[in-house]
Amino acid sequence: MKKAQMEIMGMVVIVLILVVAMMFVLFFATQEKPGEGIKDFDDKLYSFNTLSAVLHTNVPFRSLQMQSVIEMCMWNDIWVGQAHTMSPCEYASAGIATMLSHSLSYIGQDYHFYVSTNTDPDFYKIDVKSSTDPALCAGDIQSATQPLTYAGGTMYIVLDICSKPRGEIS
Amino acid sequence: MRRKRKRAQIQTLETVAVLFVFFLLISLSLIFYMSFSKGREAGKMAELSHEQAVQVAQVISNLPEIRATQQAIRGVNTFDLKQLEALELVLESDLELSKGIYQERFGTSTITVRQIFPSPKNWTIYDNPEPGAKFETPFFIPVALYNPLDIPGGNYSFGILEIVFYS
Repeated sequence: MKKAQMEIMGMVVIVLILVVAMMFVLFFATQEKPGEGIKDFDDKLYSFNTLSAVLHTNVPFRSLQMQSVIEMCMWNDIWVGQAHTMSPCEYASAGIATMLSHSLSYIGQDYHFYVSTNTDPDFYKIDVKSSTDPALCAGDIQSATQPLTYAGGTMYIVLDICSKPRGEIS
Repeated sequence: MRRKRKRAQIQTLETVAVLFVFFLLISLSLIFYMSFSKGREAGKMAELSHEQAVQVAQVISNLPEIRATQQAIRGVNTFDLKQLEALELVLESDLELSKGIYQERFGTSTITVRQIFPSPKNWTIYDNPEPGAKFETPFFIPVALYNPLDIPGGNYSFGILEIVFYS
């Protein structure tokens, strides 16, 4: 065998080794991650459960349910009966911020809680966010919406939880 | 003669260089594979630990000892505060019980119920950490806490159930 032929054979062997190595890498890199089912199912329920728990909580003032305070906020922002020094919207926002910051922020998850109406869906009378970053929740979110009727029509109470593994404490 | 020897030396050097590159490639791919499989195994272990934490969470949220059945909020895990306090007291004082049936159920974990609103308060109902555990997997569930004695009809507060699973 001539020298040139030998060198070409050497090149072919090296190329073959590289191809096998690449296939090896691709095989492991494209394998599906098992066991995501429980987590996905669980994450979807998480935002609904949090929203529902928030709405049913009794606030210290007159032991009203948070849902009732939100309804008063949406209907002219006036207390029905004995009034607090804060308006219903301010009172509800402060309570919701406390609940979410000590639960979702505690486990390192960003969130956006807001209430809008069917007549003006882009205006949020209650708007509670984990941060003022404009890019907040720009990626995947787990969203829960609770539509409720009140004296002025229909309101939509929404909780967006930005997707992040729930077990991780940041 | 001298020229021929020089040529042979060059050829030997060439062979050594090719062999060196060959073994370098093999060792690099071995290192890559080892680190990859190690990372995968650690990921699998963490996932398993997370699943075990979820299982403990499911057991505790359906525990009849603390679950508020009459006044539960639909779709939310609702615990009766008075039953929760009683269980904490019983498990604290009765080691036979906490190391027996409850250890079978909860294994090596720490289970805490945290009331967040209106006032912060904690109940550690089970605490059995594993010394030298490789993984500490925390898991959280939002819960409603029902106090039947507060006002006529009871009162709900907001909290989270925190489970730390050790493996």
